[in-house]
Amino acid sequence: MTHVTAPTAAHTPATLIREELDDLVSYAIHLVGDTSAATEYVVAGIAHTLRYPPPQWNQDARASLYRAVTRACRQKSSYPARPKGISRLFRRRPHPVFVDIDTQLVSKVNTVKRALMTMPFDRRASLLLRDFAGLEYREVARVLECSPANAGRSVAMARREFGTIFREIAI
Amino acid sequence: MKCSYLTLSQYLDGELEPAVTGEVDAHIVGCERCHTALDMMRSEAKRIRQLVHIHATDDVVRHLFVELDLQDSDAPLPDRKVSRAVQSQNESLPWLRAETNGAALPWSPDSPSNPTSNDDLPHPPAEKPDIGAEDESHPSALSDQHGDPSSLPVPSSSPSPTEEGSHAVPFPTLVEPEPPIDLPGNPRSDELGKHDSHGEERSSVTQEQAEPMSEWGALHLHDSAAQRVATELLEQEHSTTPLSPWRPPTIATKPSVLEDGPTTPSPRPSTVNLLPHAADSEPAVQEGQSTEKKTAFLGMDEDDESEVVLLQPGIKEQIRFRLQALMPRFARPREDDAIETVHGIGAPQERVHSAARRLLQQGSSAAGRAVHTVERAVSSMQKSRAESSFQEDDELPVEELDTARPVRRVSQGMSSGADLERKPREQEDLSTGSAENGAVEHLRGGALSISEGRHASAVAAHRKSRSTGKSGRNSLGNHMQELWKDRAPGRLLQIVGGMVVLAVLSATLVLVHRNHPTGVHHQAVAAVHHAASVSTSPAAPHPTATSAPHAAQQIALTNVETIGSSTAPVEIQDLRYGQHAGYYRVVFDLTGSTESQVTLGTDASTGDVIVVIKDARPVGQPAPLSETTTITSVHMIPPSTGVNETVYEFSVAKPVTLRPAYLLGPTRLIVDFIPQ
Repeated sequence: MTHVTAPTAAHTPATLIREELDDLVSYAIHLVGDTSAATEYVVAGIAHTLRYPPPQWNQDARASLYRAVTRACRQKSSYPARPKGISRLFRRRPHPVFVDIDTQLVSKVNTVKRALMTMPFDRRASLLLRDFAGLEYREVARVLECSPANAGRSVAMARREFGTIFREIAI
Repeated sequence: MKCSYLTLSQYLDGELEPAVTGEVDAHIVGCERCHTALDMMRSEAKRIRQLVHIHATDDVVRHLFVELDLQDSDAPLPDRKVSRAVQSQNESLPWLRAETNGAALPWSPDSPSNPTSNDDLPHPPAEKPDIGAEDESHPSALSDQHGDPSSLPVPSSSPSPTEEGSHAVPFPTLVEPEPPIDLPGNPRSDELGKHDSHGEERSSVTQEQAEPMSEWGALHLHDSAAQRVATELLEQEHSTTPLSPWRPPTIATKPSVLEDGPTTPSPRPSTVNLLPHAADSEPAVQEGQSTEKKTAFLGMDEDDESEVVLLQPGIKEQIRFRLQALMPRFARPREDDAIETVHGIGAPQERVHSAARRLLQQGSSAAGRAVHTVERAVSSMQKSRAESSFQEDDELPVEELDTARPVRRVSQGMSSGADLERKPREQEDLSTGSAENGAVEHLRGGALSISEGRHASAVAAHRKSRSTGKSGRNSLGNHMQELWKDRAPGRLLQIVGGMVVLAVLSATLVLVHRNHPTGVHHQAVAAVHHAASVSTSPAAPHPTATSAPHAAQQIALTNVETIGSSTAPVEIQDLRYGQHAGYYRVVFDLTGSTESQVTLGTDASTGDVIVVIKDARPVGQPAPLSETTTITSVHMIPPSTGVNETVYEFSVAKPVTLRPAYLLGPTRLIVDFIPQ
């Protein structure tokens, strides 16, 4: 006979997005280096996660959010999605959801950002996911669509690459 | 052990096994190279972490939620967690860190800037204590923020080996004393079971009644909140158990840790009974004995009759991670398999085999791959056991890091097995350290693939149901069908009209081009004709340079010579000069690999040398001449309108004989001016 705590209120999408929005936008900005585009990608990623939620929301929602945002940054997606195919010639592109976030501070380029932007996208993503967003290897693996062991290797390689570039350009 | 960047990185992130972490601790003491690399890695991670964080205002968030249909514009926003920027500010206050509590500060004072609200606590720490001082989510930091006297910080002589402060003076890995086991027949548990049988009493359980939760964590297989609670409990145990074999439960003074929401006042307990048929998984360990073999036990919740896994206190970190990673994926589709696999963590890998076999029998290809990966993992386990204890897989040399690139999934449904097949054995179980856990990890990947494959197939079916056409979803036919179904003939007519207009425009362009050829080809033909007129008819009118460009002037050429025959357009990239013994050389650097048609001659009136390069476009003006007595000046004559050629005029001091030639690769036109 053991005392067990029953589940309580789970994270709703609004709660989770509210909690993670700042980190998501910051992550996307440092990932793509463009503040206005990054907010657009974040909105697209959030919309994608809401449309295709993970089976286990409480466990995977955070990683799914980062995964969708990373994919949106890689594919330059926006929400609402741009019309595709030949029909895009005849359809007016819907106005993307605009999130007016003060990104003046982020627009300043320093040596760390310069070193980050010289790295490949996947390396940069893995480094930011681990060291900036604070995701575990398991979550990084889910975001980068690889195994946790490979996520660890990717993080290690990204750290080594970043260190090499940073020490080179910081002198 | 070998020095490895991968090992150091995992050590920094706290992703290593406790035993391996101790090895690294001991290694760093004597290895200056690793010590330096770890310091650099830590400082660079700190730089990344200190990048600017964005703060979205409430208006922005509300606008976003309205746009995404998450909530109405007048609805209150949910609470925001403490941003990392605020946390990073606290990093500069050493007395607010849990790791720096020493004898002078027996407890951590409550900080107004520290997250003390309940809404911060339900989230399990997302980060391993990789960075020590910067990691606010460490369980010890959580406990200290509450100023709980019962959860006094661990003295500085026994920090966690993964904390930052421990790297300056590394400590050996502490062996956690095994706490006494609270068997299911524990009177406290029985006492609590009485409360569980009544719903109202259950909701008003006091904190003292929740004490056994600190001894046993119950994990519902399909209950995420319970997993989180168990995780919190285990982390709490790890943060404090090194002090004493058993301590008063600190969970009683921190009910928010048990809660999953910020407003729930007390947890809702339930009763768990061990299943009678799970005889082999019942805790056969008595108090004081080692508990390494039995770490998870199967039980049943009396409340909703759902299966529960009981986690023993003092369970190792890897087991907790595996459970946390394993449960969500296995729980819903393959609950029995999940149970089997959980038991397989502790002792027999045959259960892992049986779980995988069961998946295979259900006909999933991803399950088949999972079985394959499990078999490989078990075989690797057998090999690894034969080797020495420290010849582990994570001793990957630094040079191999470049080759160990992450394998991207070809398809979501077939990922894990394919990944493993491409990896050598040395790279399979780096994060697990044991083959059983590696097997479970890969089996979990198989289940993940099954889940994602189902999701992908559902999405594909949804798309297929939306579009009945055979072509893709973005095709024009599907789009027109959707428009037709949506009764939007206006849009349909707009598309058809657009297509017609496009066709008419294309046909018109083709006809116009045939009748009036324009473009590079036409210009080339015109230039050839013009060049021919210059070279063959000295008396013909010829454009030449004056003060105004494109002004026509007649040039009578003598001693005309022509080399090259290509009319392909080229660029004159550079014009170089050089005095040689007996002649003066002018070199034209051209693009392309063809010999452009060049006409050379002498102006009959002035005696200057004229060089006409057909279909050539100069990049810039010619450089000034070097010291020479042969050529006095050089300048470029602008061509006539519509003629694509470049004309150079060389003023010579005395009559010369021209000797043109081509050199290929790169293409150079060489004109030697030989004084007569």
